[in-house]
Amino acid sequence: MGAWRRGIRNVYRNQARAILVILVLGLAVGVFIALAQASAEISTRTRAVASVVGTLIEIRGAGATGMGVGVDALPEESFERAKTVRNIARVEKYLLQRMQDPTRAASISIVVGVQPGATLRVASHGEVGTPSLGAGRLFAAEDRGKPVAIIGTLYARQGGLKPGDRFTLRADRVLLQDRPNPNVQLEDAEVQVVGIFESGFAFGDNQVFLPLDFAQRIFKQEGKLTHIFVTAASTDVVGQVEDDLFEAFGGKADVISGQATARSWAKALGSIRANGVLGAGVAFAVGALLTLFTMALATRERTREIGVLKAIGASNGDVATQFVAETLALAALGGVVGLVVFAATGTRLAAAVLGVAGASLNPQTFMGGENPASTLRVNLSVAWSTVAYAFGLVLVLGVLGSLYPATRAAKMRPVEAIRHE
Amino acid sequence: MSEPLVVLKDIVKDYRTGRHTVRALDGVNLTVDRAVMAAVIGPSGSGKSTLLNILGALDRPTAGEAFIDRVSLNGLSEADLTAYRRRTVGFVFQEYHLIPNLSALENVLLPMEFARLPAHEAERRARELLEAVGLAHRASHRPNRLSGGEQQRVAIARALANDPPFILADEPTGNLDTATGEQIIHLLKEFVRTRGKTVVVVTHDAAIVAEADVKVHIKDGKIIGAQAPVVR
Repeated sequence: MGAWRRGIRNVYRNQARAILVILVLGLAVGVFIALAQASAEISTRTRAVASVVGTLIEIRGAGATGMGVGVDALPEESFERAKTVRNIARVEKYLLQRMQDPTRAASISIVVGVQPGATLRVASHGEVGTPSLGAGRLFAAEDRGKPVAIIGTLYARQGGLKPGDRFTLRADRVLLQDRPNPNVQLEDAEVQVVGIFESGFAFGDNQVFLPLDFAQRIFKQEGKLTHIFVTAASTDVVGQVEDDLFEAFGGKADVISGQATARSWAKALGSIRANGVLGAGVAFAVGALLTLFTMALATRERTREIGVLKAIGASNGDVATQFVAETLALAALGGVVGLVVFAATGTRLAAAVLGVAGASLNPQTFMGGENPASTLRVNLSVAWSTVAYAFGLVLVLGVLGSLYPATRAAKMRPVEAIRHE
Repeated sequence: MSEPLVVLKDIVKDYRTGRHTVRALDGVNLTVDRAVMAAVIGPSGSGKSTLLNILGALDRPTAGEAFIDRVSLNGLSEADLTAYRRRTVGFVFQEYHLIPNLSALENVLLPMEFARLPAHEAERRARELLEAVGLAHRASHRPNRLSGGEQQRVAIARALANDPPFILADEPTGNLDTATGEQIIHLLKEFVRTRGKTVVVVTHDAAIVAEADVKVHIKDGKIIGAQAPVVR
């Protein structure tokens, strides 16, 4: 039968205790895999942010805050001025206005004037993504100056709108923060829906894009912009481009580098990851201690049996192997339960960790591309290496947890062990 | 006449309890021939079990020398003592001490596993021993499904697993009723007669004493009476 088989069978001798140890170890393994998964996701997201926003620089009117609607708009020539800076790949200009329609459930919406071909940037409360077209079409060159709109799915649903339908932007609903904006006058404007986009976020999907020159006209903002986005030629030159832009605008605009944002993300997410590692470590430590105590208790309970085994010829190695095998069997079962725990809750746990990371950061407004907080979806597939690592770790802890009880059992003097009450 | 199996010379065993030293055996000299059943009798605390522990190499004497099958136990390492317990001696305990989660067959297999006997050979032998103690039909039963007498018979089969020349039994009938106890006595006696085993039994049981070839009286750690010719 062998000491290994005997040890494994001993797991079932005290089922309640075995189940407790297996569950605790399983929880530790499940949490570990979930946190490893979240950590991997954090790395991926951080790299994505760095690669996407790493070259992006935002320019907006000085003092603009929150949703980025400033008191001072940027003059249109700012766009040309920005283009004079060296080492830039792309410059895009926007006019953003905030509106409120109390007749709609999602009453606050953002209206954005954008050039045909420019990136559709969705602004939200920290939720920023790249929208994808769900129906209709994007703006084309011939849409310049025309009353056409690309609207978000939420805006479309609440207005019962589809491509080809018309709706009215009301003059009395333009806001500066939470009050009517005294600097913007809007005539009621009827526009036709040409496309419907989806960003995956409620607030983002409540947004309306208009051709920039049409938006400037109806908001009486001809020759004015609220945002310019400059894409540097490479991440290496972002700092230089940022400095040049700041100099070019002479302090009359806020110049915000995406790299700074990425660094902020990386720092915050790194902190979350470190806490995750600590959490997994604590879970494993608790599991290892429980295993140790359980096996020490089992050794004590079976003292006389150990004496008998020695009396009938078991060597110290035979006795120790039996206890190590029992602990390893507990650990392995804990590993299996851990996989089940992860399968049941791990993805939600990993998403929660990322959610916490997202919530800890400042909202990134009007920024295109990937943003970690915006994409809380977690990859369901677990890397085999992570599972193997978790299993390896729980087995190592099993071995460590068995060392003291196994050594103690092996070193017992048979005569004392048999006499044990 | 063949060499005796057991020769004890001036065996002393002291135990320390706190500041005090208790002398459990006090200069024991004993010789036991082969193929006999010897009963060690005496009051509680007289040193009977200590004597058994020394004969079984479960404990080392404080002084004196123990020769079993012409080998001195004094000079043996811990590993050698383990090998001795595995090959030369078989134990039968008052409370049977079977491993509770193993079947009767697996319990009998244990000493052979420790002796690294090939599995098929070990199983053949274990079944043969269970047959010899009349429990072939109970081979797959766990101890909690066996009566006291059956458990003790399994324990005897286990003691004989590696075919040791020497069986040590500590109150083997102590937990059994009279009829079952007699079965155990006859079984032990039969192994003495048919297989040439030497059995040393620590007992209070008059029936065993009556069946024993040799009676060893022990009191206060000293042998106060022994019957010749096997005990000299």
